[in-house]
Amino acid sequence: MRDSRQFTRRPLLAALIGASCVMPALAHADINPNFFGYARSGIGSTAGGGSQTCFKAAGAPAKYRLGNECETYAELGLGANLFDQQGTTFDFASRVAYVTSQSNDDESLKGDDNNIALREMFVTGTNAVSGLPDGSTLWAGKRFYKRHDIHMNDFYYWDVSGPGVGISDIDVGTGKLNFAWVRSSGSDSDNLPDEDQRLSDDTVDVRWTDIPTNPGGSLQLGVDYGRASLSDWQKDYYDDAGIDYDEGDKGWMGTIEHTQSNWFGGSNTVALQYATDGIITSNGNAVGRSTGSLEQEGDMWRVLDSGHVWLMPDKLDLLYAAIYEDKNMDDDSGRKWFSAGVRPVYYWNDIMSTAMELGYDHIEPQSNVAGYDGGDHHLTKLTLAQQWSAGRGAMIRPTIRLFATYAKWSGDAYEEQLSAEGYRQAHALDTGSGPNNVDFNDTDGLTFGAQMEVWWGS
Amino acid sequence: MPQRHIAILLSGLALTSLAGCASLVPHGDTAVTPAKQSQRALAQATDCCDTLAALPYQSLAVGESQSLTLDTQAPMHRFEDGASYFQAFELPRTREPLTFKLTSTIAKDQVFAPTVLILDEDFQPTQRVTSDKFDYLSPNGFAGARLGATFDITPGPNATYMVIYSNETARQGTTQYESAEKVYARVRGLALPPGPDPIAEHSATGNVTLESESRETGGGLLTPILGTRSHADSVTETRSATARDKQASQSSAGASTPDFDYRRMINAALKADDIELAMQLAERAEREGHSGTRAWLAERLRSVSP
Repeated sequence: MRDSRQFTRRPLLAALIGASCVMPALAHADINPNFFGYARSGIGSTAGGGSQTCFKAAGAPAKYRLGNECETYAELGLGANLFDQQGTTFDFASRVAYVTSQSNDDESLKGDDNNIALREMFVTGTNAVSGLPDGSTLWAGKRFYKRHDIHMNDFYYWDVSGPGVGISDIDVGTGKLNFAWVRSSGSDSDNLPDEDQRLSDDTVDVRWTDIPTNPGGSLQLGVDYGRASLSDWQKDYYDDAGIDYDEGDKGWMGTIEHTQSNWFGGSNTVALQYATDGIITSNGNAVGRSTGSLEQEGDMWRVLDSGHVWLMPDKLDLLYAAIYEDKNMDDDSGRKWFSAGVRPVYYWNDIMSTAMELGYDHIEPQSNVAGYDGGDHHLTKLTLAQQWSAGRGAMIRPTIRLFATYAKWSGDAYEEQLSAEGYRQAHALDTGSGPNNVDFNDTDGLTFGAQMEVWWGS
Repeated sequence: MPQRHIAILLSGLALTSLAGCASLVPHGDTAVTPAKQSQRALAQATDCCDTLAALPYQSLAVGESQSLTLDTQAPMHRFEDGASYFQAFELPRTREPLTFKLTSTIAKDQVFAPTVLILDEDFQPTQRVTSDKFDYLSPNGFAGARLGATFDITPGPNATYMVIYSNETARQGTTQYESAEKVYARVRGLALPPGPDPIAEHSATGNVTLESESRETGGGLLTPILGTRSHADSVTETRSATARDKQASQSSAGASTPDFDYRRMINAALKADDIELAMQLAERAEREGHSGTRAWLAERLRSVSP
């Protein structure tokens, strides 16, 4: 019996040993995929009936998010280290984002409120370019590029993500230099004969990061310059139509940001930004890249401060944010926006915590805004949440939370008249943040529900 | 409407307050003694035992994951490389190769930097996995920042007992780790927060988890483990290398490890009549630079075949 087993295994052994002669060459072809991502989902209702309303001041580019997110959103990413030899590495990363209105079990990703989007597909080559300092990284493909946000209200204030190419993290002794060329596209359906004819906008992003300033403090400086790259036939068409595209398509944004670590157990970030013309829009959020518009003229100032501190070590921490933005458009379609919020969280133990989030947004429109209340209006939002998380700290996930949110605003919530499509139109409240289930003339609302939030990846 | 809102909000407040009260009963709280305090406690603790033979050995269940109590209530012994709290186990009386995975969690800026000591049946040290063989493992959403090592032991006369402790040299070191904010930035494609990563002190106490698995049943575990495992070094070699413990941050396990362990594992696989496993081990040994292992296995197979 024993003999027969060995007899059958010997050829296998011989085959494997033979095959192994070529194996060393393939040894470094082993791929260990990296699975990373982010997700949030839940259920909620509005007191008085209907699904969860999410409260956002009309004209504001962000809202305080705790207990105030009405959609299921996920990013699923896959990547891998593909090469690692003699200090040079090549890594691949990809990311697909999904959003649904979380209203059904079976939700198409092609519906009005739903979407699937390819957000990242890029390769980095660290130390791939000889002659540059150690750590310099060449990259190409579409990607999230060094985005700057305030987590508490999901506000992105510097984000030139998209298809691009660049070289980053060039150590110059005092900080690091980063260069990128990224693309965004618009379509001028009002003027061009074919609305599919795209306006290619190019943005060049230059940053000097990690400049040491004081113990635990560092500075970064950045300039983004963007313009529409018009083809000859597009220029001819605009010239013939008498449309001036010389100024409105161009713009730049400058950013100065200081980050202080070792700040009451956390960190503080203060940033000052100035942007012009083609890099801002009246309704959209100015993030540093071209907007796909040809005739947008004006300027914008923005100052913000945000951070995380521990008020009682391991017991009570606090996220905070304050933002002031003055968008001054030549056609008076801009507005001033002031926002402030705090989120203290008390940790009962390693798992359970109680969070409170208080947020305030104030909008002061210019004289020619369209689509929402043209007078000053404001929104205050208070959320109380009981949370169960995988540890202590504002940035620890996964979290499951039960929440109740009370919001109060000035003036009617929505316009009394529906739009031509039968949808509610914004007044004091934005209508694009999910179901709009408070009455049009309500001035406050209450919602409650549950949500999970998670991110992961090594 | 406002009154009803207020009533519902108050109900919510009451519910969350009640939940808060209920949670005052300790629930999964991981007590972490500050490093200085645990070092002081260690200095004042009494040695539990005169010799290694007198350590309180517990039986070890294979196939389970267990949290090791390595706090100031744990037994203390003055090992030859320093006093330490420890946990000691008697390995199962099987001759099957076993795979162990030991992880030590970084919490509150401190971590227990483990050393694993293998003793023979006469309680004499034969192998050691020193703390510098533990890799730093980034937090990934499924597990926090931690030190971890995977190693193979085949119980027998030369490997009868296992002791997990932290030596004095290791406690002089520190481990740099990724903050929660940096993990969030990394996985969301945000600009990484500037400034240096936080540093965890190596402490006399900590949260350590020991997992074990039989190689016979561990097919699914085999590949990832073989990819990153450390090796139990012979005592002689490791003693000369203890100076490396002074290094501030953990690095990957050294590439130059003796083929002693591989050949032991291959022998054990052959004894268990598992030629496939023996061949896999030989291939892995070759890839890791132990040239001649494949030929050695072929010779072994020839000698036991008719």
